[in-house]
Amino acid sequence: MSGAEVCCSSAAISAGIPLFSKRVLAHVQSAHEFGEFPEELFHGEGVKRGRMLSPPIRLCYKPTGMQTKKREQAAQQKEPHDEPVFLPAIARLGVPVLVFGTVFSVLSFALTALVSPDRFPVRVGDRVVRLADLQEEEAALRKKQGELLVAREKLLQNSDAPVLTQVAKLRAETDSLGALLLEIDAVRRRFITGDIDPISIPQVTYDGSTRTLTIGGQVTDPAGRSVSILSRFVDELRLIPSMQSDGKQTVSDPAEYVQRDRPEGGSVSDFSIRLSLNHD
Amino acid sequence: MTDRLAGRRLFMGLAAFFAGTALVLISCAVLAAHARLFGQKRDTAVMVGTQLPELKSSVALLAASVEAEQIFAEQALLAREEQAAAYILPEGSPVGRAVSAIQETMIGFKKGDGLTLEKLSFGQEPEDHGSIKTTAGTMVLRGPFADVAAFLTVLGYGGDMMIRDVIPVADQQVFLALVEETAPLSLKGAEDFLYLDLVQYASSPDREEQRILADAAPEAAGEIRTLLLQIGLAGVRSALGPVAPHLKARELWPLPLLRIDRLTRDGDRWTADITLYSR
Repeated sequence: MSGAEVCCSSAAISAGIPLFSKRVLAHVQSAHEFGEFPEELFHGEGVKRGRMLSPPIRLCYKPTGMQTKKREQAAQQKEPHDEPVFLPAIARLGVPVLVFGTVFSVLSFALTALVSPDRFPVRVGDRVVRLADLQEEEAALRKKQGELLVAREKLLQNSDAPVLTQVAKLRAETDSLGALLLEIDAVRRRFITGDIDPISIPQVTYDGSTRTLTIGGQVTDPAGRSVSILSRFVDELRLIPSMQSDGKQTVSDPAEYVQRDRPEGGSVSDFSIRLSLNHD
Repeated sequence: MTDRLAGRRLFMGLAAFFAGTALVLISCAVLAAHARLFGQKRDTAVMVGTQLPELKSSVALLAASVEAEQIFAEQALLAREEQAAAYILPEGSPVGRAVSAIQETMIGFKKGDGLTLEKLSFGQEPEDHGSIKTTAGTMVLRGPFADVAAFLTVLGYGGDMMIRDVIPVADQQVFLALVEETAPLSLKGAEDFLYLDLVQYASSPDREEQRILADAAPEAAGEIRTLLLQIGLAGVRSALGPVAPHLKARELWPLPLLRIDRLTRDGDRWTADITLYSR
């Protein structure tokens, strides 16, 4: 209010606007305290309000600006209008919110505990059962099924036949060499186009002690791409089911991929590939 | 003093507000979770309710088949045990039967004309390894790669008697599970099928498969047949099939258990060091 003109009639004061009138009067009082005097002060006509008849008073004053610094300092100390409003309002809501939250949470937990979905009946076909009973029934059936499967698995093993057990053990140690050779031959045949049979395997050596099969031979190609054919042949060998082992290299690469030109045209590549049947 | 009291009141009020808000939020979360649980349980109920009748019939069928198989398996295994003791791991010398089996296999083997058995020799005395005796031998063959490979594949079935001998146990489980799932009425037949004589199957594979799949729907039958081929019966059909009737007629099945220790090829000459087993 400092530095502004403030006007107020005594009618307003007597008409029952106490806050405004008090503030005006307090300001006038403070103006006197700080040595500021109204610029003008004059009387007007009287106004009747209620039962009170007061002479018309109009107070008009303008602060003189004296002691302004002192006044601002005092205002800074008090600052009644800058006090926080939001936090006290929230604080006033605190207790009701707490009560509501407590009651709500108690009811929620009670509802959760009492109204369990397991207790609700479920219609299955032509009967109505509780979900918990339904799950128990299913678990019992699954358990029985598991026991029966274990019993059947035991039947699939020759536990009560000593000679058969011995034969099975020896069979497990024996490699299916013939089947592997057939697979290799099938891979080789896939490269035959027309009359051209590019892969020949004249060298075969199987060592039972190391369970390795080494095949050696030549890849010939009239178009001069024997190395390319050889690399595809190795890739195809690696796709043989019995040669697949988790993370283990069972089919080696040839020592080198080299091709030589043939006098009659095209190229030839020699190879020696080791296949391991030991997957342990 | 008044200011401190007012501050404390403000703090308490704020604390109560936030505590109340937190409780409301927690309650909302609990209620939401509970509602979600209701939804899940309802889905579970629908799922269980759908599966239960099928599961019940499946368990009943499985129980009946396991019980029947127990009786059958005992008899079948007893017979196979006797066969294995007589022909696969004989107490005497295995050489005589092995020579006949190899020679007759060669005769019955009609894949190409170029395959010949040049030499077959065995050591005089078996080597004793406790419960097992071994007899070393040498076999010299002459023939192209494919024919020798097929011939050795047939000899590789030495020691096998039933279909279950050529299918790994895990794959047998897969096969039975598939039959149980797609053609439950064929489950008993599928279990018996695993005990079927391998050479009988190799002689007429389609007929034997059709016997177990008679009750299966065409789609399920096709699926089961494909699986059987994938898990080991394709080789039986192609390799053992051509010689099976001859071996059966000559009563040389089961073939003796034979291990190839070393194989070398020199041109068309193949030399195999082999080992025969006996008890």
